[in-house]
Amino acid sequence: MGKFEPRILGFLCNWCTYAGADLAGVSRFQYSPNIRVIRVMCSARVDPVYVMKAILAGIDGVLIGGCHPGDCHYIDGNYYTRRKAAMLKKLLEILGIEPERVRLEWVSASEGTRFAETVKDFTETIRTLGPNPLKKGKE
Amino acid sequence: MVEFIPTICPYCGAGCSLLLEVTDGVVVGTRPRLGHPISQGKLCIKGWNAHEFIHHEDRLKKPMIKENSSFKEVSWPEAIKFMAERLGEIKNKNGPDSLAFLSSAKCTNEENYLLQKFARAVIGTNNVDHCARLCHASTVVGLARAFGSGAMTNSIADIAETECIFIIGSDTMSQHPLVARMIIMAKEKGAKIILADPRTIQVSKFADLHLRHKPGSDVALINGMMKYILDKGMEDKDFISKRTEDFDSLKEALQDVSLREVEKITGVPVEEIEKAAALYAKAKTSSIIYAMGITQHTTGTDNVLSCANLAMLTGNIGKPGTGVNPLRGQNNVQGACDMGALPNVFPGYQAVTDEGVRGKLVEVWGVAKLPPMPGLTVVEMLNSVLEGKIKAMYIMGENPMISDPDISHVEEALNSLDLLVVQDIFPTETARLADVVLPAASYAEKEGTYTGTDRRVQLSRKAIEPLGESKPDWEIICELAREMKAEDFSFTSPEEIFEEIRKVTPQYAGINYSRLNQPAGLQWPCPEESHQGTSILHGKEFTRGKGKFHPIVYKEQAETPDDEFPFILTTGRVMSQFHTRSMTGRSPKLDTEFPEGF
Amino acid sequence: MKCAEVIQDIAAAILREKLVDGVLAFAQGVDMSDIVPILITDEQDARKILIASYQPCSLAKLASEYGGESKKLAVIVRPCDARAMVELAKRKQLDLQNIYSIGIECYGVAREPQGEIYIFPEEMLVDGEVKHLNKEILSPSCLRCEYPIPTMADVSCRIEKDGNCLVAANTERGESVLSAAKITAQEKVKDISPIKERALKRQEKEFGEIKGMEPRERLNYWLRQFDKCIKCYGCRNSCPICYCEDCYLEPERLLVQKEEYPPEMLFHITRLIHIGDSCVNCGQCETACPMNIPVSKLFHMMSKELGVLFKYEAGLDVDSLPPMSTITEEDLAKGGVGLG
Repeated sequence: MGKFEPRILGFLCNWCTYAGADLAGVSRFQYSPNIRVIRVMCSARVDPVYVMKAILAGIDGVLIGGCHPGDCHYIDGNYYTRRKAAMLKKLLEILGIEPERVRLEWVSASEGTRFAETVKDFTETIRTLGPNPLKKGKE
Repeated sequence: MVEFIPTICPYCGAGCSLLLEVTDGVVVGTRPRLGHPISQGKLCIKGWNAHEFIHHEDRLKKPMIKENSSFKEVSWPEAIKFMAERLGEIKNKNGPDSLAFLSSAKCTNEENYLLQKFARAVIGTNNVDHCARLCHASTVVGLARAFGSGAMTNSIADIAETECIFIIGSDTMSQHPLVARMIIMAKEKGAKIILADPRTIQVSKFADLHLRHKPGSDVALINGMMKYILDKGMEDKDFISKRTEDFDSLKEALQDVSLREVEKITGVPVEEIEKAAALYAKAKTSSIIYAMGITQHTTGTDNVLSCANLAMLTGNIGKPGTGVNPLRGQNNVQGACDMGALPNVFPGYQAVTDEGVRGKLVEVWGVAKLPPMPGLTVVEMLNSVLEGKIKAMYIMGENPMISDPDISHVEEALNSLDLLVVQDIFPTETARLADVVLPAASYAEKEGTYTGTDRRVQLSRKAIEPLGESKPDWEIICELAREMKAEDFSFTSPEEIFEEIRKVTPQYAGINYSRLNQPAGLQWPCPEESHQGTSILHGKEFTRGKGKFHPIVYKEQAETPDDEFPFILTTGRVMSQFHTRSMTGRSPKLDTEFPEGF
Repeated sequence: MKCAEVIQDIAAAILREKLVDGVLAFAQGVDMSDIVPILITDEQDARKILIASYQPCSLAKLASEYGGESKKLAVIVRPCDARAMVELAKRKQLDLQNIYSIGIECYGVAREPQGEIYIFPEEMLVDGEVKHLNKEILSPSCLRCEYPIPTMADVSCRIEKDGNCLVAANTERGESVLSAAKITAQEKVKDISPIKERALKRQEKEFGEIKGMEPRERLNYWLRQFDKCIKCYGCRNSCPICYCEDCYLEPERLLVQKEEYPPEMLFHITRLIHIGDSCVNCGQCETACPMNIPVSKLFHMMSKELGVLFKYEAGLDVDSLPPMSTITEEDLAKGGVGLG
């Protein structure tokens, strides 16, 4: 079968994390190719329902990337994101799915290395956790 | 001003009661009704949205007569006069049997009673039938032959108390969700579920054993199970000797059954058939639940008789948690059958050929005589139309243009009639072909009784006034009858009609409107006013005395796949659409869930 | 019952004095096994009000549907309804200034009709006879409820076993109700800590059962429960906090796959995400579920867990906004990705 390759979905905020990811790309930092990115204007726009939809569809991990607290382009969006991420983790725990599959990270536009490190680290975490248990359930 | 009026759900035969929320004369919502024995404060998605179609803009509001291929709105007196004249004309010219009536499994008992009385007493024909012919006619005939009574033997509530449920030909979670509730409750109490269905359906997840037999091989499957039960001595010898007859002919017929053969015919491995048979026979109480999956075949009656055989073989009749339980589709198809909207029986399943019965009815109905020969069934009616024998049809609350087989045949037949009258709430596909269209009132706009699948007669109250100029079906029939100079149609309320029904229908004799004024209704037979209704049939003895075994030999389906037509297609249901979609198709919440067939 | 008369008198009085345009309560349908909601506008009809221990639907939900801008309504509520109304007020679905809530102290409601029944902590009064309380007849959510006294309503009524009804006002509006009805408030302090303790113990037991399962086992448990779902929307239709007219769960929103039975777990998870922080444990969802899925247990568990996380208690203080749509000074001070 081969080694399990995690499939990760990233919701990255346009002003910070997405720019940080761009910087990582331009600087040729190597990081795990397991992430697929969706750009959102603010991390607060990430509807927890879509994160759950992705997990129920079989994605192994979801990364939400936003600006550092105090730096949000829309002033206070990321504070809401932090609450939503906490709620999501609780929800996953209650349902019996590993809460580590959803990660919130603050990555600014200048933190290209940090972005690469985050993705590498997250991929390995997911690799250790194993494939999404709901993937098997979809018969 | 807001009011909550109790009514009976207009969709399936489970017979759930619900509250219609009425604000200033408009129905705006539905609420479940706590304290009802079947719905118990819950509803399925159709029940929750049973109000959506009531005020739809398509509702027919004025009588119409077709002139030069387009409909002209007319007044009620005009429409009634026109129909009375034309019906009278056709009857005088071609005889009473040139008219045919289709009654409605969605209309109340009172209305079904009146239509068959009109056909028989005023016109003089037994050509009355309704859509049960397309679904549970096999049940009515089969169980009547085996037990003496063609209805569900137990009650819906006691399905939750059984130890083993054998579901054959019923996608219960889609078709009768509140009955599926009982099945799930039984399962959670430890019951074993055996499902016999060619498809994988929602309830398969809860079945302990899923026998995926080939469509049409039901008789073979059940014969195989019975053979195994007899071989292993698991039959209820006491029950068979005391309560049944003709067991020897069944035993003989089963000797020719070999489980290897059955495996070939059904496609179910021998071990599974044996396991299912053992589960069913060894449980203290076992219940059979079935629906269209076995009745809609050329061998439909055989299938039903096989189920009856299986239940009698193991003594699973007459006790709580047992029985043979057909789940009837429409909210009042049981009632329509009880009211005699069938070509061969009067109300209460009394044969039309019986002189004594005719004599009694002639007195109550105040007529000179009643037609003695059975009339035509739905399918026969349409064939007769094309043969030129039937010239006029009166269709109340039915949509044969969608529900009958071979629609082009139906269209040809309906178009060739001299007179087609359609009485409905919406301009259905059938109504568009009519010569006269009469606007009827929906279930929320009239009072009346409905009989659910477990023989439960329930009273539904009027929530709002009829829309536009529509009238309740019973009023229309009475007006038409009076225009045709019939006496005895001067009813002023559904309660008066019900009082007459009680006189001629022995099973309903002890029921009256004040007794029905409680959520649980009354289950027939209820012969006297002091009788509490019958929740379980055939308790001490069968309606016909002893239960009769019928040896059934497996017959292949009328058409089997071959090189030219290699596929087997089977029909099924979906949760949110109901029958011909005249009502659910006009309910946005229900229609968007399943917008198309597939 | 005597106690009902006191409340009927209050209802008649406030209609007479035109304090309100209508009173929302429960009444008897065709008989005692049939309890239906009723909106009373004529003081003669106040005699129909029933306060036996049943809750066939959420009156908070009906109040938000009938209480318009100009209409003043009184609602005869149990604490769960009163708390639901507070939550609806936070979401601007009702204006508490237009609502007079007459609360009844509640120790549980019966799941199925049992005649004229009044539930007390250890006993029940059935058709006038005092019997020992069989907890099996109660709705499961009631066994977990920590709020027997409607402190968040304008008026609190306590029913005693002898049929007496003690009334107290919790707010100024409550006082105006009592003066209109010419009733003097009777303060009688009650120690409800044993009730609260019992409720918390029950919560620990029920939620503990779920939390005690291994994650895979827990996931399979929920998948199995949701396999029974027939997408009747009963849970959403009866939940007082679900008020959206353009609901995410409807097929035209294209979120939950249509034509699929059982619906994917996203159906329930979406609702959990939307209102999980504010569930008041009224249990109407479980009352409405035909398949006996433990919905109320799941939502209550979520609301308790989020309550600890965000230091929030649903249904008590109308100025404490739902955690998912609020940020506080504390949030603004923290820098990390976690809440701690």
